[in-house]
Amino acid sequence: MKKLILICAISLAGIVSVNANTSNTPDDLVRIDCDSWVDGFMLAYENFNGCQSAENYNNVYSNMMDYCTENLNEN
Amino acid sequence: MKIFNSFLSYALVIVCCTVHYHTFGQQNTSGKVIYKIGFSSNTAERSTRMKEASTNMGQEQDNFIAIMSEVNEKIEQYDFELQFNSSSSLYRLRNEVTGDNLSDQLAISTVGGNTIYFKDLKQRSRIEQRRYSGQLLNVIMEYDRFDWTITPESKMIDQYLCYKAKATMVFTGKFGEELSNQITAWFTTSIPAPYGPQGIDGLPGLILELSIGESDRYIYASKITLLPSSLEIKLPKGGKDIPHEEYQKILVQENIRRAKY
Repeated sequence: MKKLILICAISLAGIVSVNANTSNTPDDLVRIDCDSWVDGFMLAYENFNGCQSAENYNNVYSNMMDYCTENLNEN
Repeated sequence: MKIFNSFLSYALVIVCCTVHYHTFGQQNTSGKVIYKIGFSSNTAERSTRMKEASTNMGQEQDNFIAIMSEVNEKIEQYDFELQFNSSSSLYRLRNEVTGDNLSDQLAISTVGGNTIYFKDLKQRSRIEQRRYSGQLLNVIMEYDRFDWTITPESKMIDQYLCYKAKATMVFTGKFGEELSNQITAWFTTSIPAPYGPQGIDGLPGLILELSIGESDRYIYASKITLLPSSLEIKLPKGGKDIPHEEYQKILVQENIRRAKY
């Protein structure tokens, strides 16, 4: 289990570092905020539920991105 | 003597399973089973694990815990139905789910509830019907998915004597990596139907309880109804056929593309 969590954490750490290095235009910022928020959520989600299949990850990611863009990034 | 006894009990399990299984095709066994999802941990233990899992979220940690607590409550409320006859089975979520509710959507994604699992023994086919990007897909799966090891360990579930079986489920991870989980199933030869929940099947009897990997979630049969006449079972119409490998490639490519933002 610890090994699985470590693999997930390393994979998502990679994603977060890619995001941090991205140069953004002001128009991109709203989108990038949600990307970071969803990445953070997915890391915690996988820590809690274990590594996900490509399909489950895709579904949960889509659900959370929709939720973020519709509810969280309007402020 | 002890070794001989355990060998004898193991041989008896195998013989019983084989006899039941080979008579299955000649019987008119049909039925409906309601499966539910339970947790081997209590709410407080899950809450502690949620906190530990979400330390990376900072101010959003409370939001994560609130969402996941709601998701877990929803998961326990769902009913899944397996319909089966002597040659096919269909497994799906029974609850109607409203489109906009986040905890419902997340709960369904978490337990694979947006998939209809169909298996046809005569055609030796296994199809999982899913919706992806607004499109209905019939994902053509490999027929023989599990290499089961049946153990002599047994327990009663409801009125049925069940044996424990184990297998390894190999699956594709989010970025295409090969992952695996250990599956533990409890099946009964009293209902010699080689089916089970979530497309996990292939044992010489119906699976009544199932756990996957180290998750504290498990699936259990809450109501079993055997029917005197054969049920008609068909995959819902429509959908585009796509091989499982191709579908996986699309998902992995999208996951990688998202990670590169």
